[in-house]
Amino acid sequence: MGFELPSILIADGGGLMNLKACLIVAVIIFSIGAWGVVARRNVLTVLISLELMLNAVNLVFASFARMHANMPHEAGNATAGENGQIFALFIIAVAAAEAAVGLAILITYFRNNETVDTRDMTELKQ
Amino acid sequence: MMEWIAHYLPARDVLESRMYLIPLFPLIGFLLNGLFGRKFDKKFSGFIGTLAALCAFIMAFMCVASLHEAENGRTAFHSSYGTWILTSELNCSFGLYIDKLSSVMILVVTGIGTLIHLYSMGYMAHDKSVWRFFAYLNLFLFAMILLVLGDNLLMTFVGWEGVGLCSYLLIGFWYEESKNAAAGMKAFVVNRIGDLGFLMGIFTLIAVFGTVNYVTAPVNGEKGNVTPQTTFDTVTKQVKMPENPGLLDYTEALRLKYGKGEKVELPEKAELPKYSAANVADPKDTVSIPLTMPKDLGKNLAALITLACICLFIGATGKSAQIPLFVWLPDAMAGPTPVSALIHAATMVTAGIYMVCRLHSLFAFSETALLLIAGVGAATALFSALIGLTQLDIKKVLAYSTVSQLGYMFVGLGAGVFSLGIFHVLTHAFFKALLFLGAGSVIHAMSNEQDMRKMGGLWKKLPWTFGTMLIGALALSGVPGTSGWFSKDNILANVLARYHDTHNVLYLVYYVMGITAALCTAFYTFRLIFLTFFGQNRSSEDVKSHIHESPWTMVLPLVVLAFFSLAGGFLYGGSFIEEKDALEHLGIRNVPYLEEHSLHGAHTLNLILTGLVAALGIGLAYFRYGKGNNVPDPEKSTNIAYKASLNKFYVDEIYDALIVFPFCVLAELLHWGMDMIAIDGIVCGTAEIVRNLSSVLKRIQTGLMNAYAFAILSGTVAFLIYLYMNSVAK
Repeated sequence: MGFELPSILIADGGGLMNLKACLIVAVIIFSIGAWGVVARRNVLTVLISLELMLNAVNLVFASFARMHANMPHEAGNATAGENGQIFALFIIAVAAAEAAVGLAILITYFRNNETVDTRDMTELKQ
Repeated sequence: MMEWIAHYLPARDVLESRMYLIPLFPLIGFLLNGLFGRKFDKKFSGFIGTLAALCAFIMAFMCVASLHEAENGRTAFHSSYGTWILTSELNCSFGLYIDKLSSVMILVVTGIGTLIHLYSMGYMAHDKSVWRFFAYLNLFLFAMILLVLGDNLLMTFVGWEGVGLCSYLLIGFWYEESKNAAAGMKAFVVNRIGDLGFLMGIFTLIAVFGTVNYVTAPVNGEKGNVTPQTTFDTVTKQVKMPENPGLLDYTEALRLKYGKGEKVELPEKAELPKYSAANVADPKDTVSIPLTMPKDLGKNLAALITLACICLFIGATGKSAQIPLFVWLPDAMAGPTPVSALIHAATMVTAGIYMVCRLHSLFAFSETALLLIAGVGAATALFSALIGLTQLDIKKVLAYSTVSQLGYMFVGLGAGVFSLGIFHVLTHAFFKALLFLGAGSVIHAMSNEQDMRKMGGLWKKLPWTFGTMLIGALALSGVPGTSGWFSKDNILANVLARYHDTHNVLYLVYYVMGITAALCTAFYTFRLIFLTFFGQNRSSEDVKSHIHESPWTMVLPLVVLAFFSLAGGFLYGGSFIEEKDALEHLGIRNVPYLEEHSLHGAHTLNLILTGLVAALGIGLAYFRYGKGNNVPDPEKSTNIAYKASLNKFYVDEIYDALIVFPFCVLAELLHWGMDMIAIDGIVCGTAEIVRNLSSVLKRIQTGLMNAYAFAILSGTVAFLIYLYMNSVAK
């Protein structure tokens, strides 16, 4: 990479942990979620993958918040890195609401069309 | 007598400011008959039409009589009614101008017009759309008055086109028969071809002189010269021109500047006279301003003037039925006889001659143009006289006679005697209108029979018609004493004199052609008289019982015209014939002779020859047709010359093959090639392309949700990569 990521120390005995590692995990989870959205046949599975993507993003936000809290110049500031954590809470709430709506749509669609296979949803075809 | 009349006239200023009434009366007549004529009684429409023409004639007569007694140099009435075109290149306004030349023409037009309106009341009394006829006749009078009284070339052109339109409307008056409609179209199209030449001439004159006015614009509110003259100041040796000079002022200035004795020689690069105001001796009545050529043309002024004259003459060949554009006139006989009399004998066809005479000094500069005019005139005179020898329809004989006599007028113009050309217009108007109206009377009596083979022996039952037509025929043949003799044979004398003067053998050729045509004219005219009025009547019993003399509305114009055919020469000849008189009385300067005595010698020889020719023609006609019933029978003849003459030398067929057929082929080609293939191809082709493109592009919309999700994802990823690349590049 062209820039150096600072190291973060977690003071609960887990040992040294890089920001890099957290981000790589998040990217992997996001990719799996993205693949799931695009390439799965069952709409429920698509919704689950969507949740995966949201969780991966949450992980990114939390990692960066922790990084900010562990910065040397923030020693003594109990609310350092609060932005990231607050935003992560927001995402959780929004994800829940969106999941509810998505499931409602799915159930209604199933009631009308008897199928949740994406290959059968071609009403927009020209 | 003129002084007595002058006492009762309104003042000159009043007349001048009311000049617009002359064209206005026929216009009102046209509107009344055209808009409300359907509801009018037949007699009432005729009455309105004739009244309008009569009012125009009275007004014109008053203006002319007032001018006749002019003092202190007031030679013309000139009024302007608003600007028409105002650009940096050209300034043209609506104006009316009565000078001596247009006074002759306006009296002919309105006078004979009124007589023919009166005649039509009797002739067209049984037609079902009389109102339309009188509306068109009045419109024609309006346009003809504009043509004659217009004070610039564009006003004349408006009238020119207007009379062409009315000619079309009137020839095709009985349009239910397609033959008449076709004849009307032929007249209009052929006329239009000539108009192209006319326009080119006008454009050339605008390019050279920068103006289309004949004379300078009217001097308002000033007594004295209404038309300021161009003069030569012998003290300062400079030419004084009025402000805003017209074409005639320019030509007069050129003549004064470059004239050597009687000849005018325009040098290689002639310039319009330049002079400064400081040198002018007496600036009170003329305004002298420095003038230069409107544009630097750098070319020979003489050549440009010749070009303009030739182009204008082409316009005249179209309107006045000369070779090659005369073919419409015989076909125009499909119209009612009063139309033939008014338009195709007396007034419309003389528009070309009037135009040439109006620009007489311009034409006088160009010998080439004059020779061309005389040549075309002489050829036409001879050609149509030969055709007229064998025609069987009474109106066709008169039509070809008209073409022939118009040729004579152009010969006169080409020989340089413009005043005699106008004089022949005047006398020809009298006797040709008389002959046509008489023919109409005969046709009316014979229940619309026009073939001379079926006529005969009519002199007893139609005495007035016979008497007047005989007078007309004598005038047409140029029998000494009649007005026709005064004009036509005088023209021939001047052609011979011009030959003596310039020793140009072409003039001798034209003279011989003219004499031959005169022989033919006398022959076919009296052939017409003998076949129609003498011998035994050859029509059916039914027609014979209906033969009757025409009502007074038809006979009165005949008598009036016959009087003028006989007396016209004595009454008016003087003002037209002598060169000096022509300048004083008409304001036209004939091309002068280099040697004074050429004219005298020519007169004697010509007198003998023309007298001989007239007698010979009448004698031959008498021997062949006068006694007994020698009726022409085309089927029995094997003479090639006879057949060629009868079929008008196949001009129509030749034109069809050479001009009309290729044109139709071209039109068909363009229809298929351009219209159907190219244009429809482009328009429909564009639609095809769009359709094909869309059928390819619509395959993106599969309707598969996964595909759409993938598209969203890949688009976002691509965008992020792009942003990353940008930020890294910095």
